[in-house]
Amino acid sequence: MESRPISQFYQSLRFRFGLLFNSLLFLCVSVIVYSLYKNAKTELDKSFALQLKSSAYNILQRTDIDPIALPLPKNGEFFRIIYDNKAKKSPLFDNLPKNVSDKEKWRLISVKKYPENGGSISVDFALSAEQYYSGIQKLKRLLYIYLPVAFLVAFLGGYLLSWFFLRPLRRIVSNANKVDLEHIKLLSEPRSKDEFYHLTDALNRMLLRIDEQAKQQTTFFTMASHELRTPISNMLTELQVFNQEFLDLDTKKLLDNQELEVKRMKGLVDNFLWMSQIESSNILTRKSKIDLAETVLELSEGFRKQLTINHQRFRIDFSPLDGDFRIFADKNQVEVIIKNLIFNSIKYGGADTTIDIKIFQNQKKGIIVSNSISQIIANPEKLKGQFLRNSSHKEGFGLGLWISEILSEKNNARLSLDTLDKRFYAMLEFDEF
Amino acid sequence: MRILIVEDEKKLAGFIQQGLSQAGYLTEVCHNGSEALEIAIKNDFDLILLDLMLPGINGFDFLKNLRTFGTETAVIIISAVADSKQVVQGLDLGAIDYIRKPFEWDELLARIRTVSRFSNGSSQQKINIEDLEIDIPARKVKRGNIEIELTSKEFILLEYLARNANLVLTKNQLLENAWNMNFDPESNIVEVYMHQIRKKIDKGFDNPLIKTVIGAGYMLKGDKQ
Repeated sequence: MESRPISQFYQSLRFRFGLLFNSLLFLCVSVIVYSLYKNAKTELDKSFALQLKSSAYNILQRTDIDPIALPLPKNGEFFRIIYDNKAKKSPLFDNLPKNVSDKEKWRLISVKKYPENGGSISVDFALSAEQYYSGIQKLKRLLYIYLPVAFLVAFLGGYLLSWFFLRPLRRIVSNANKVDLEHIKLLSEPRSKDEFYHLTDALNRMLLRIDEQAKQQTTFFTMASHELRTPISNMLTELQVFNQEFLDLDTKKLLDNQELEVKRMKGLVDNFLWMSQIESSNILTRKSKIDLAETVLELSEGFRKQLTINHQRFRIDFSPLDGDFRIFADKNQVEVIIKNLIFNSIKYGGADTTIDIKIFQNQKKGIIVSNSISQIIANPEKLKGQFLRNSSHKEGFGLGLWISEILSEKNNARLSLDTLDKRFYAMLEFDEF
Repeated sequence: MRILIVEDEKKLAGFIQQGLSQAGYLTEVCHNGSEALEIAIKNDFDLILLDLMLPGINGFDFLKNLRTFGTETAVIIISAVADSKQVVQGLDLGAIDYIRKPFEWDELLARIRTVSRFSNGSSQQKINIEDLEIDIPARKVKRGNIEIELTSKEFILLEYLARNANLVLTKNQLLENAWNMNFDPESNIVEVYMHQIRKKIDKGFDNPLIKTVIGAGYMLKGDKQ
C-alpha cells in the first residue's frame, strides 16, 4: 500500500475550525467589550465629575463672608477659597497642591456664589484623579489582557475537546485505510445519526460500488485471460505434441518456427492483459515468502529452447554462496518481472553469447541480468517508459519493462537499467525480505 | 501410469491425450467436472490433470469433493487463470502442482515424471542412510527425529545423492538431473544448493553425511539401512 500523507497539526480540521470560530468569537466579543469599556468609562467620568461638583458646592455652601465662616478640609480635600469684592481678590483659604494643574493626577472644578453684601466667593476644588485613573486602567487590563488569554484558553480547550468529539472521524479514517480491493469491508456505522453517520453511510455505499466494479473487472480479466490463452494453449500443445513424433528435419524446423511465433503471440497477449490490468488499477498484490534462487532457476528452464536456437547460455552466480535469497513479494508478479528481464537479455544478447544472472544478498536482495549489446543505448532508464523500445527492428511493443517497473513498485522493489562496457544490466532490488 | 485429463476444451484435451499416449501413459479424458469426479472416485488413477474452469463443478469444488471421498490421487492443476490467489487456493485444496496455460509440453512431461517417481509402485518408497530417512512419496526428510524442510530442487538433489549413496557425483551430473539445462560451467548453482542441503542435513549432527570430493564432485556417504 502506498504511504499515507503526513499532515501538520495546523492543517487539521480541529485547528482550522478552532481558529475560525475563535477568531469570529474574538471579533464579536471585542466589539462588545470595546462598547462596554466606552460606556463604563463614560459612567466613571460622570460619577467622578458629580462627586467633584457636589464636594465643591458643599464647600461653597459652608463658606460665608459676613461673618466669615470657612469650612476646614477633611482628609483628602483640597480647595482654595477666594473672595472678590470687585476691587480686590482676597484668598481666604488655600491648600491646593502645587501640581494641581497636572491633569493626569488631579481634577479641578471652580464654583462661585454671590453673597448679599456684594462681591463673589469662588471655590476651586481639587480631587486626586489617581484612583479614577487606576480604576480605568484596571478596567482596560481586565478587558484587553484577560480577553485574549480567555480566547487562547478557549482555543486550546476547543482543540483538545474536539480530539474527543472527532473520535468517530478518526475511526472512519482508520477503517477506510484498511480497505483494499481484495478485502472490501464496510465501515461500522456510528450509533448517533449525526454527520459522521451520513459520512460513513456515503463511504459504505461508495465501497459497495467499488467492490462491485472490482468484481466485474476481475471477472473480465479472468475471462479474457482464459479466452485469449485457450487458443494459444491449443496451438502450442498441438505443435509441441506433433513435434515429439519422428519427423523429417524440414517439418521439425517448420514446427519450431511456428512454436516460436505462438510463444511470441503469448507474450504479447500476456503484456496486453497486464497493461489492461495496470490501466484499470486492477492489480492485487499477494505477498508471501518466496525463494528468489528457486524462482530464477525454475524460470530459466522455460527458456531452454530459445537458448538452444540462439546458441546462448546462462551463467548463474549466487553471491554469497551461503546467502539467504528469500524475499517477501507476490510470486506471480516477481515471475513476470524476471521473465521479462531474461527474455530481453536473450532477445538483445545476440547469438553465441552468455547471459549472466547474478542473484545477490547484501544489505538488499535481488537479481542482476546482463547481456552483451551491439549498439550503445543512450539512456537505458528511458526504456522503462510505456511503448518505448531500444530497437524498432526487434519484436514487441515496448511494454515488458514498463510492466516490470510498475510491478516492481508494487512489490517494494527497484528496477534499474544501465550499460557498461558494451553490456546491458538490469538490476532488481528488493527492500522486503 | 494412468492419467485422467479433466479439460473442457476438447481440442486441447485431445492434444494432451495424444501427446501423453505417445509418451507411454494410459489416459482417459473427461470434459465435465461432475462426471470427472465420478470417474476419479470409481477408478484408480495415478494422476489427474485438472482444468479449473469446467462445466458441472469447477476445479476447486472437484478437488474438495475428491478429498472428501478419500481419494488421494495426485492432482496437477492446468489453468489459464494466472492469478496467484487461485494457485494458492488450488495447492491448499491438495493439488501437488500448478501449471499455467499455455504451458511447455516438456515442462508438463517433466512434472508428470516427478509424480510418477513419487507415486505408488515406484521402485523405492523410502531411502535410509545412517539416521537420514527420505520418504519419497510423501516428499519428507528426517534426520534422527528431526523433520527437515527442503525445497523441491533440494529434495530432487538429495534423492539423487541418496540413490547413488557412496558414489561420487559430478557437478554436471547433479545439474543435469535436477535442472535438465545446459548452464555455463562457471555457474555456481550446485555449490549453492549443496551448501543449503548441508546446512539442513548435517548442521548440528556429529557425523556429516555429505562429503565434497575435491576436484571430482559430491557424495552422500553412509551405511544404507
